[in-house]
Amino acid sequence: MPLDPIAAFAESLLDRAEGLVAAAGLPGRGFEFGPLRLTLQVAGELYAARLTRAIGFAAAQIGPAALGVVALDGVASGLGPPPGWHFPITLPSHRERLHERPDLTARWDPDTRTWRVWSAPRRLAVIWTADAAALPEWEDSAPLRDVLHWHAASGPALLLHAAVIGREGRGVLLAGPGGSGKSTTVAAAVLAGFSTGGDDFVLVDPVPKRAWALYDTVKLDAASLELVPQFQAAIANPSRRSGQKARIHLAAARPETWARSLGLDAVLLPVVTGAAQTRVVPAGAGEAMRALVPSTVFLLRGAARAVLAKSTDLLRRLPSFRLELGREPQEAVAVIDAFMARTRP
Amino acid sequence: MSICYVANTACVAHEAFDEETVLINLERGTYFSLRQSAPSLWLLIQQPASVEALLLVLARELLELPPDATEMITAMLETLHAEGCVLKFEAVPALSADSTAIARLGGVLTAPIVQSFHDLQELIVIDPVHEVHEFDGWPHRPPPFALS
Repeated sequence: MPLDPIAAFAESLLDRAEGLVAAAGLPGRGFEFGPLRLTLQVAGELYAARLTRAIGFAAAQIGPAALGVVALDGVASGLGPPPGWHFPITLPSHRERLHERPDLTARWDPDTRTWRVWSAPRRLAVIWTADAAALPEWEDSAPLRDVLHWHAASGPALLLHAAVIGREGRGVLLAGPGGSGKSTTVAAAVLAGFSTGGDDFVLVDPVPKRAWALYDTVKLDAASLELVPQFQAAIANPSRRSGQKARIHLAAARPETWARSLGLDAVLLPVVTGAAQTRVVPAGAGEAMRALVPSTVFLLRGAARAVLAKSTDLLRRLPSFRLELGREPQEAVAVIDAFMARTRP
Repeated sequence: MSICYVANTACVAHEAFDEETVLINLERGTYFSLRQSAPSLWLLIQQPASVEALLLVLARELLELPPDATEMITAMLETLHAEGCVLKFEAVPALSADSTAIARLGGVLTAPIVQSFHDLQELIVIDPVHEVHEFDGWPHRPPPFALS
Protein backbone atom coordinates (compact mmCIF):
# COMPACT_ATOMS: atom_id res chain seq x y z
CA MET A 1 0.00 0.00 0.00
CA PRO A 2 1.45 3.41 -0.91
CA LEU A 3 2.58 5.62 1.92
CA ASP A 4 -0.23 7.82 3.11
CA PRO A 5 1.35 10.41 5.40
CA ILE A 6 -1.94 12.11 6.28
CA ALA A 7 -3.51 8.81 7.28
CA ALA A 8 -0.41 7.96 9.32
CA PHE A 9 -0.63 11.32 11.05
CA ALA A 10 -4.36 10.80 11.71
CA GLU A 11 -3.67 7.40 13.21
CA SER A 12 -1.06 8.97 15.46
CA LEU A 13 -3.66 11.46 16.70
CA LEU A 14 -6.01 8.58 17.48
CA ASP A 15 -3.20 6.76 19.31
CA ARG A 16 -2.44 9.86 21.30
CA ALA A 17 -6.10 10.38 22.22
CA GLU A 18 -6.43 6.78 23.34
CA GLY A 19 -3.32 7.12 25.45
CA LEU A 20 -4.55 10.31 27.03
CA VAL A 21 -7.93 8.81 27.86
CA ALA A 22 -6.28 5.79 29.45
CA ALA A 23 -3.84 7.91 31.45
CA ALA A 24 -6.27 10.57 32.59
CA GLY A 25 -9.26 8.31 33.11
CA LEU A 26 -11.61 10.74 31.42
CA PRO A 27 -15.22 9.92 32.23
CA GLY A 28 -17.41 8.95 29.30
CA ARG A 29 -20.93 10.10 28.57
CA GLY A 30 -23.21 8.13 26.28
CA PHE A 31 -25.50 9.63 23.62
CA GLU A 32 -28.01 7.88 21.40
CA PHE A 33 -29.46 9.22 18.15
CA GLY A 34 -31.52 6.28 16.96
CA PRO A 35 -29.09 3.95 15.17
CA LEU A 36 -26.10 6.21 15.91
CA ARG A 37 -24.65 5.81 19.37
CA LEU A 38 -21.49 7.24 20.83
CA THR A 39 -19.50 7.64 23.99
CA LEU A 40 -17.95 11.07 24.45
CA GLN A 41 -14.88 11.76 26.57
CA VAL A 42 -13.78 15.37 26.81
CA ALA A 43 -10.62 16.93 28.22
CA GLY A 44 -11.72 20.37 29.36
CA GLU A 45 -14.84 21.36 31.30
CA LEU A 46 -15.75 24.30 29.10
CA TYR A 47 -15.35 22.20 25.97
CA ALA A 48 -17.52 19.46 27.49
CA ALA A 49 -20.26 21.99 28.22
CA ARG A 50 -20.10 23.48 24.73
CA LEU A 51 -20.13 20.08 23.03
CA THR A 52 -23.07 18.66 24.97
CA ARG A 53 -25.49 21.57 25.26
CA ALA A 54 -27.31 20.79 22.00
CA ILE A 55 -27.19 17.01 22.38
CA GLY A 56 -28.01 16.72 26.07
CA PHE A 57 -31.47 15.37 25.23
CA ALA A 58 -29.81 12.27 23.73
CA ALA A 59 -27.91 11.23 26.87
CA ALA A 60 -28.15 7.47 27.33
CA GLN A 61 -26.41 4.41 28.70
CA ILE A 62 -24.29 3.14 25.81
CA GLY A 63 -22.63 -0.24 25.35
CA PRO A 64 -19.08 -0.88 24.20
CA ALA A 65 -19.97 -1.25 20.51
CA ALA A 66 -20.63 2.47 20.12
CA LEU A 67 -18.39 5.02 18.46
CA GLY A 68 -15.89 6.50 20.87
CA VAL A 69 -15.29 10.23 20.52
CA VAL A 70 -12.42 11.90 22.35
CA ALA A 71 -12.48 15.70 22.35
CA LEU A 72 -9.43 17.62 23.49
CA ASP A 73 -9.21 21.28 24.40
CA GLY A 74 -5.56 22.19 23.87
CA VAL A 75 -5.62 24.87 26.55
CA ALA A 76 -7.60 23.12 29.29
CA SER A 77 -5.90 19.77 28.79
CA GLY A 78 -2.40 21.25 28.75
CA LEU A 79 -1.73 19.61 25.37
CA GLY A 80 -1.43 22.92 23.63
CA PRO A 81 -2.61 23.58 20.10
CA PRO A 82 -2.62 20.73 17.61
CA PRO A 83 -0.11 20.74 14.77
CA GLY A 84 -1.57 22.17 11.58
CA TRP A 85 -1.83 20.79 8.07
CA HIS A 86 1.72 20.16 6.89
CA PHE A 87 1.06 18.02 3.89
CA PRO A 88 1.32 18.60 0.16
CA ILE A 89 -1.88 19.28 -1.71
CA THR A 90 -2.19 16.13 -3.81
CA LEU A 91 -5.97 15.78 -4.07
CA PRO A 92 -8.66 18.38 -4.81
CA SER A 93 -10.13 17.84 -1.33
CA HIS A 94 -6.76 18.72 0.20
CA ARG A 95 -7.40 22.33 -0.70
CA GLU A 96 -10.07 22.13 1.99
CA ARG A 97 -7.66 20.27 4.24
CA LEU A 98 -9.77 17.16 3.98
CA HIS A 99 -8.34 13.67 3.53
CA GLU A 100 -10.68 10.77 2.91
CA ARG A 101 -10.38 7.05 2.68
CA PRO A 102 -13.28 4.62 3.07
CA ASP A 103 -12.16 3.73 6.57
CA LEU A 104 -10.63 6.99 7.75
CA THR A 105 -11.34 10.69 7.38
CA ALA A 106 -9.30 13.59 8.67
CA ARG A 107 -10.00 17.29 8.43
CA TRP A 108 -8.04 20.32 9.54
CA ASP A 109 -9.95 23.52 10.17
CA PRO A 110 -7.41 26.36 10.04
CA ASP A 111 -9.89 28.94 11.33
CA THR A 112 -10.54 27.23 14.66
CA ARG A 113 -7.27 25.28 14.59
CA THR A 114 -9.05 22.00 15.03
CA TRP A 115 -8.30 18.50 13.78
CA ARG A 116 -11.16 16.06 13.40
CA VAL A 117 -10.27 12.44 12.69
CA TRP A 118 -12.55 9.41 12.37
CA SER A 119 -11.53 5.78 11.98
CA ALA A 120 -14.07 3.11 11.07
CA PRO A 121 -12.06 0.04 12.10
CA ARG A 122 -11.09 1.60 15.43
CA ARG A 123 -14.64 2.94 15.98
CA LEU A 124 -12.92 6.01 17.31
CA ALA A 125 -12.90 9.71 16.53
CA VAL A 126 -10.75 12.48 17.95
CA ILE A 127 -11.35 16.20 17.90
CA TRP A 128 -8.42 18.32 19.04
CA THR A 129 -9.03 22.04 19.12
CA ALA A 130 -6.50 24.69 20.09
CA ASP A 131 -8.73 26.55 22.54
CA ALA A 132 -12.38 25.71 23.22
CA ALA A 133 -12.95 29.18 24.63
CA ALA A 134 -12.03 30.68 21.26
CA LEU A 135 -14.43 28.58 19.21
CA PRO A 136 -17.13 30.63 17.51
CA GLU A 137 -20.49 30.63 19.21
CA TRP A 138 -22.24 28.88 16.31
CA GLU A 139 -20.15 25.74 16.92
CA ASP A 140 -22.39 25.08 19.94
CA SER A 141 -25.42 24.61 17.68
CA ALA A 142 -24.13 21.53 15.87
CA PRO A 143 -21.28 19.95 17.86
CA LEU A 144 -19.43 16.83 16.69
CA ARG A 145 -20.98 17.42 13.28
CA ASP A 146 -18.12 16.12 11.14
CA VAL A 147 -17.55 12.89 13.02
CA LEU A 148 -21.26 12.15 13.29
CA HIS A 149 -21.51 12.75 9.55
CA TRP A 150 -18.60 10.50 8.65
CA HIS A 151 -19.71 7.74 11.00
CA ALA A 152 -23.34 7.85 9.83
CA ALA A 153 -22.28 7.87 6.18
CA SER A 154 -20.37 4.63 6.69
CA GLY A 155 -23.63 2.89 7.61
CA PRO A 156 -27.17 2.95 6.24
CA ALA A 157 -28.08 6.45 7.46
CA LEU A 158 -26.82 9.94 6.72
CA LEU A 159 -26.88 13.46 8.09
CA LEU A 160 -28.94 15.86 6.02
CA HIS A 161 -29.08 19.64 6.07
CA ALA A 162 -32.81 19.70 6.70
CA ALA A 163 -35.46 20.23 9.34
CA VAL A 164 -38.16 17.84 10.39
CA ILE A 165 -41.63 18.59 11.78
CA GLY A 166 -44.61 16.37 12.41
CA ARG A 167 -47.49 15.19 14.51
CA GLU A 168 -48.14 11.91 16.27
CA GLY A 169 -44.92 10.28 15.16
CA ARG A 170 -45.21 11.10 11.44
CA GLY A 171 -43.61 14.06 9.75
CA VAL A 172 -42.13 15.82 6.76
CA LEU A 173 -38.57 16.78 5.93
CA LEU A 174 -38.03 20.46 5.17
CA ALA A 175 -35.09 20.78 2.80
CA GLY A 176 -33.49 23.93 1.53
CA PRO A 177 -30.42 26.11 1.84
CA GLY A 178 -30.06 28.84 4.44
CA GLY A 179 -32.66 31.57 4.00
CA SER A 180 -35.27 29.26 2.51
CA GLY A 181 -37.53 29.60 5.56
CA LYS A 182 -36.83 26.31 7.31
CA SER A 183 -36.15 27.68 10.79
CA THR A 184 -39.03 30.14 10.84
CA THR A 185 -41.39 27.42 9.67
CA VAL A 186 -40.13 25.07 12.38
CA ALA A 187 -40.54 27.72 15.07
CA ALA A 188 -44.08 28.56 13.92
CA ALA A 189 -44.94 24.87 13.68
CA VAL A 190 -43.75 24.28 17.24
CA LEU A 191 -45.95 27.14 18.46
CA ALA A 192 -48.87 25.49 16.64
CA GLY A 193 -48.33 22.22 18.48
CA PHE A 194 -46.20 20.34 15.97
CA SER A 195 -43.30 18.27 17.16
CA THR A 196 -39.84 18.70 15.68
CA GLY A 197 -36.51 16.94 15.59
CA GLY A 198 -34.41 19.97 14.69
CA ASP A 199 -34.17 22.74 12.14
CA ASP A 200 -30.69 22.39 10.68
CA PHE A 201 -29.29 18.86 10.62
CA VAL A 202 -31.08 15.56 11.15
CA LEU A 203 -30.11 11.93 10.86
CA VAL A 204 -32.12 10.05 8.23
CA ASP A 205 -32.30 6.43 7.16
CA PRO A 206 -33.82 6.25 3.66
CA VAL A 207 -35.04 2.65 3.85
CA PRO A 208 -37.41 2.92 6.84
CA LYS A 209 -37.98 6.58 5.84
CA ARG A 210 -37.26 7.82 9.34
CA ALA A 211 -35.51 10.86 10.80
CA TRP A 212 -33.83 11.19 14.20
CA ALA A 213 -33.04 14.38 16.06
CA LEU A 214 -29.38 15.34 16.43
CA TYR A 215 -29.40 18.88 17.80
CA ASP A 216 -32.18 20.52 19.77
CA THR A 217 -31.35 23.97 18.48
CA VAL A 218 -33.45 26.33 16.44
CA LYS A 219 -31.60 29.37 15.12
CA LEU A 220 -33.57 32.49 14.31
CA ASP A 221 -32.43 35.76 12.83
CA ALA A 222 -33.95 39.05 13.94
CA ALA A 223 -36.60 39.04 11.21
CA SER A 224 -37.68 35.51 12.11
CA LEU A 225 -37.82 36.38 15.80
CA GLU A 226 -40.25 39.15 14.98
CA LEU A 227 -42.49 36.59 13.33
CA VAL A 228 -42.35 34.22 16.32
CA PRO A 229 -41.69 36.54 19.29
CA GLN A 230 -42.85 33.87 21.75
CA PHE A 231 -39.29 32.47 21.65
CA GLN A 232 -37.67 35.66 22.94
CA ALA A 233 -37.66 34.40 26.52
CA ALA A 234 -35.94 31.13 25.59
CA ILE A 235 -32.91 32.56 23.77
CA ALA A 236 -29.78 30.78 24.96
CA ASN A 237 -27.34 33.39 23.63
CA PRO A 238 -28.82 36.74 24.70
CA SER A 239 -25.42 38.46 24.48
CA ARG A 240 -24.79 37.38 20.88
CA ARG A 241 -23.12 39.78 18.51
CA SER A 242 -25.15 41.92 16.16
CA GLY A 243 -26.22 39.91 13.14
CA GLN A 244 -25.71 36.59 14.87
CA LYS A 245 -28.74 34.31 15.06
CA ALA A 246 -30.57 33.69 18.32
CA ARG A 247 -30.26 30.09 19.53
CA ILE A 248 -33.11 28.30 21.23
CA HIS A 249 -32.76 24.83 22.71
CA LEU A 250 -36.16 23.30 22.09
CA ALA A 251 -35.71 20.18 24.21
CA ALA A 252 -35.50 22.48 27.22
CA ALA A 253 -37.68 25.39 26.05
CA ARG A 254 -40.54 23.32 24.62
CA PRO A 255 -39.96 19.73 25.77
CA GLU A 256 -43.50 18.71 24.86
CA THR A 257 -42.71 19.43 21.20
CA TRP A 258 -39.38 17.69 21.06
CA ALA A 259 -39.40 14.49 18.97
CA ARG A 260 -36.44 12.12 19.09
CA SER A 261 -37.68 10.41 15.94
CA LEU A 262 -40.32 10.87 13.25
CA GLY A 263 -41.40 8.71 10.34
CA LEU A 264 -41.23 10.61 7.06
CA ASP A 265 -44.11 10.90 4.60
CA ALA A 266 -42.85 13.62 2.25
CA VAL A 267 -40.12 16.11 1.49
CA LEU A 268 -41.12 19.78 1.44
CA LEU A 269 -38.91 22.36 -0.25
CA PRO A 270 -39.63 25.73 1.37
CA VAL A 271 -39.23 28.83 -0.77
CA VAL A 272 -39.92 32.33 0.51
CA THR A 273 -42.22 33.92 -2.08
CA GLY A 274 -43.71 36.90 -0.28
CA ALA A 275 -47.10 35.92 -1.67
CA ALA A 276 -50.22 36.31 0.43
CA GLN A 277 -50.96 32.60 0.57
CA THR A 278 -48.81 29.54 1.13
CA ARG A 279 -49.08 26.82 -1.51
CA VAL A 280 -47.87 23.23 -1.69
CA VAL A 281 -47.19 22.12 -5.25
CA PRO A 282 -45.62 18.90 -6.56
CA ALA A 283 -41.89 19.04 -7.23
CA GLY A 284 -39.70 16.73 -9.24
CA ALA A 285 -37.07 14.57 -7.61
CA GLY A 286 -34.39 16.56 -9.41
CA GLU A 287 -35.63 19.79 -7.84
CA ALA A 288 -35.70 18.10 -4.44
CA MET A 289 -32.19 16.85 -5.03
CA ARG A 290 -30.98 20.36 -5.80
CA ALA A 291 -32.60 21.68 -2.64
CA LEU A 292 -31.35 18.95 -0.35
CA VAL A 293 -28.01 17.61 -1.51
CA PRO A 294 -25.71 20.50 -2.51
CA SER A 295 -26.16 22.38 0.76
CA THR A 296 -25.62 19.13 2.67
CA VAL A 297 -22.44 18.16 0.86
CA PHE A 298 -20.98 21.67 0.96
CA LEU A 299 -21.71 22.13 4.67
CA LEU A 300 -20.71 18.63 5.71
CA ARG A 301 -17.31 18.00 4.22
CA GLY A 302 -16.49 14.49 3.06
CA ALA A 303 -18.57 11.41 2.19
CA ALA A 304 -20.21 13.41 -0.58
CA ARG A 305 -20.86 10.46 -2.85
CA ALA A 306 -22.48 8.51 -0.02
CA VAL A 307 -24.71 11.50 0.72
CA LEU A 308 -25.65 11.73 -2.95
CA ALA A 309 -26.48 8.03 -3.26
CA LYS A 310 -28.51 7.84 -0.05
CA SER A 311 -30.32 11.09 -0.74
CA THR A 312 -31.27 9.75 -4.15
CA ASP A 313 -32.60 6.62 -2.48
CA LEU A 314 -34.63 8.73 -0.05
CA LEU A 315 -36.04 10.94 -2.79
CA ARG A 316 -37.10 7.89 -4.78
CA ARG A 317 -39.02 6.65 -1.74
CA LEU A 318 -40.70 9.91 -0.73
CA PRO A 319 -42.81 12.36 -2.75
CA SER A 320 -41.44 15.90 -2.97
CA PHE A 321 -43.37 19.15 -2.92
CA ARG A 322 -42.42 22.78 -3.17
CA LEU A 323 -43.66 24.76 -0.17
CA GLU A 324 -44.20 28.26 -1.50
CA LEU A 325 -44.27 30.21 1.74
CA GLY A 326 -46.64 33.11 2.17
CA ARG A 327 -46.06 36.06 4.43
CA GLU A 328 -47.60 34.61 7.61
CA PRO A 329 -45.81 31.68 9.27
CA GLN A 330 -49.00 30.66 11.10
CA GLU A 331 -50.86 30.42 7.80
CA ALA A 332 -47.99 28.38 6.33
CA VAL A 333 -48.19 25.97 9.24
CA ALA A 334 -51.95 25.55 8.76
CA VAL A 335 -51.30 24.69 5.11
CA ILE A 336 -48.65 22.15 6.12
CA ASP A 337 -51.03 20.67 8.67
CA ALA A 338 -53.71 20.17 6.02
CA PHE A 339 -51.14 18.76 3.62
CA MET A 340 -49.86 16.28 6.20
CA ALA A 341 -53.39 15.14 6.97
CA ARG A 342 -53.82 14.31 3.27
CA THR A 343 -50.48 12.52 2.82
CA ARG A 344 -50.53 10.52 6.05
CA PRO A 345 -50.61 6.81 5.16
CA MET B 1 -5.59 12.27 -31.86
CA SER B 2 -8.46 14.69 -31.34
CA ILE B 3 -9.61 17.20 -28.77
CA CYS B 4 -11.53 15.04 -26.33
CA TYR B 5 -13.86 15.80 -23.46
CA VAL B 6 -14.36 13.58 -20.43
CA ALA B 7 -16.39 13.96 -17.24
CA ASN B 8 -14.22 15.20 -14.36
CA THR B 9 -15.32 12.40 -12.07
CA ALA B 10 -12.63 13.18 -9.50
CA CYS B 11 -14.47 16.37 -8.58
CA VAL B 12 -17.98 15.89 -9.88
CA ALA B 13 -20.66 13.61 -8.47
CA HIS B 14 -23.83 13.01 -10.45
CA GLU B 15 -27.20 11.35 -10.10
CA ALA B 16 -29.92 10.84 -12.70
CA PHE B 17 -33.64 11.19 -12.15
CA ASP B 18 -36.45 10.81 -14.66
CA GLU B 19 -35.81 13.80 -16.89
CA GLU B 20 -32.91 15.40 -15.11
CA THR B 21 -29.35 14.69 -14.07
CA VAL B 22 -27.91 16.68 -11.19
CA LEU B 23 -24.16 17.33 -11.14
CA ILE B 24 -22.36 18.55 -8.05
CA ASN B 25 -18.88 20.01 -8.41
CA LEU B 26 -17.45 19.14 -5.02
CA GLU B 27 -14.37 21.26 -5.50
CA ARG B 28 -16.00 24.50 -6.62
CA GLY B 29 -19.24 24.36 -4.64
CA THR B 30 -21.40 24.57 -7.75
CA TYR B 31 -24.19 22.34 -9.01
CA PHE B 32 -26.03 21.84 -12.25
CA SER B 33 -29.28 20.62 -13.68
CA LEU B 34 -28.92 18.79 -16.99
CA ARG B 35 -32.07 18.34 -19.05
CA GLN B 36 -33.25 17.35 -22.54
CA SER B 37 -30.26 15.72 -24.31
CA ALA B 38 -27.71 16.85 -21.73
CA PRO B 39 -28.06 13.81 -19.40
CA SER B 40 -27.33 11.47 -22.32
CA LEU B 41 -24.35 13.47 -23.51
CA TRP B 42 -23.04 13.50 -19.93
CA LEU B 43 -23.25 9.69 -19.87
CA LEU B 44 -21.47 9.48 -23.22
CA ILE B 45 -18.50 11.48 -21.96
CA GLN B 46 -17.82 9.19 -19.02
CA GLN B 47 -15.13 8.02 -21.44
CA PRO B 48 -13.03 10.50 -23.44
CA ALA B 49 -14.94 11.56 -26.54
CA SER B 50 -14.45 14.16 -29.23
CA VAL B 51 -17.39 16.09 -30.65
CA GLU B 52 -16.84 14.29 -33.94
CA ALA B 53 -16.95 10.88 -32.24
CA LEU B 54 -20.13 11.84 -30.39
CA LEU B 55 -21.73 12.90 -33.65
CA LEU B 56 -20.75 9.61 -35.29
CA VAL B 57 -22.33 7.57 -32.51
CA LEU B 58 -25.46 9.71 -32.42
CA ALA B 59 -25.82 9.62 -36.22
CA ARG B 60 -25.61 5.85 -36.13
CA GLU B 61 -28.13 5.46 -33.31
CA LEU B 62 -30.68 8.18 -34.08
CA LEU B 63 -32.92 8.62 -37.11
CA GLU B 64 -31.52 12.06 -37.83
CA LEU B 65 -29.50 14.81 -36.24
CA PRO B 66 -30.49 18.47 -36.15
CA PRO B 67 -28.40 20.66 -38.44
CA ASP B 68 -26.88 22.49 -35.49
CA ALA B 69 -25.96 19.31 -33.58
CA THR B 70 -22.25 20.15 -33.61
CA GLU B 71 -22.83 23.60 -32.13
CA MET B 72 -25.27 22.28 -29.52
CA ILE B 73 -22.92 19.57 -28.30
CA THR B 74 -19.86 21.82 -28.37
CA ALA B 75 -21.66 24.54 -26.42
CA MET B 76 -22.69 22.11 -23.70
CA LEU B 77 -19.23 20.59 -23.37
CA GLU B 78 -17.53 23.98 -23.34
CA THR B 79 -19.94 25.24 -20.68
CA LEU B 80 -19.21 22.26 -18.45
CA HIS B 81 -15.50 22.58 -19.19
CA ALA B 82 -15.56 26.22 -18.10
CA GLU B 83 -17.31 25.11 -14.90
CA GLY B 84 -14.65 22.49 -14.14
CA CYS B 85 -17.03 19.58 -14.66
CA VAL B 86 -15.41 18.35 -17.86
CA LEU B 87 -11.76 17.91 -18.73
CA LYS B 88 -10.49 18.67 -22.21
CA PHE B 89 -7.33 17.22 -23.71
CA GLU B 90 -5.86 15.71 -26.81
CA ALA B 91 -6.37 11.97 -26.98
CA VAL B 92 -7.69 9.08 -29.00
CA PRO B 93 -11.47 8.96 -28.45
CA ALA B 94 -12.59 5.79 -26.66
CA LEU B 95 -16.28 6.26 -27.25
CA SER B 96 -18.80 3.46 -27.40
CA ALA B 97 -22.58 3.80 -27.66
CA ASP B 98 -23.77 3.68 -24.07
CA SER B 99 -27.17 2.00 -24.36
CA THR B 100 -28.60 3.88 -21.38
CA ALA B 101 -27.50 7.18 -22.82
CA ILE B 102 -28.99 6.40 -26.22
CA ALA B 103 -32.24 5.12 -24.71
CA ARG B 104 -32.65 8.33 -22.69
CA LEU B 105 -32.57 10.35 -25.90
CA GLY B 106 -35.81 8.78 -27.06
CA GLY B 107 -34.65 8.80 -30.68
CA VAL B 108 -34.11 12.57 -30.90
CA LEU B 109 -31.22 14.88 -30.10
CA THR B 110 -32.88 17.88 -28.48
CA ALA B 111 -30.99 20.99 -27.44
CA PRO B 112 -29.06 20.11 -24.28
CA ILE B 113 -29.90 22.32 -21.31
CA VAL B 114 -27.30 23.04 -18.64
CA GLN B 115 -28.58 25.17 -15.76
CA SER B 116 -25.81 26.32 -13.42
CA PHE B 117 -26.23 27.15 -9.74
CA HIS B 118 -23.58 29.16 -7.90
CA ASP B 119 -25.61 30.19 -4.85
CA LEU B 120 -23.83 27.85 -2.44
CA GLN B 121 -20.26 28.62 -3.44
CA GLU B 122 -19.80 30.68 -0.29
CA LEU B 123 -20.08 27.45 1.70
CA ILE B 124 -16.81 26.29 0.18
CA VAL B 125 -14.30 28.53 1.84
CA ILE B 126 -11.50 29.23 -0.59
CA ASP B 127 -9.15 31.29 1.49
CA PRO B 128 -6.08 32.86 -0.04
CA VAL B 129 -3.82 30.61 2.02
CA HIS B 130 -4.80 27.69 -0.18
CA GLU B 131 -3.69 29.56 -3.25
CA VAL B 132 -0.53 31.05 -1.84
CA HIS B 133 1.36 28.22 -0.25
CA GLU B 134 1.44 24.52 -0.93
CA PHE B 135 1.40 23.59 2.76
CA ASP B 136 -0.07 26.17 5.08
CA GLY B 137 0.82 29.52 6.45
CA TRP B 138 -0.20 33.11 6.24
CA PRO B 139 -1.93 34.43 8.20
CA HIS B 140 -2.26 31.43 10.53
CA ARG B 141 1.13 29.81 10.29
CA PRO B 142 0.94 26.88 12.69
CA PRO B 143 3.74 25.50 14.83
CA PRO B 144 6.06 22.91 13.23
CA PHE B 145 4.64 19.47 12.66
CA ALA B 146 5.16 17.49 15.84
CA LEU B 147 3.14 15.48 18.26
CA SER B 148 5.44 16.29 21.16
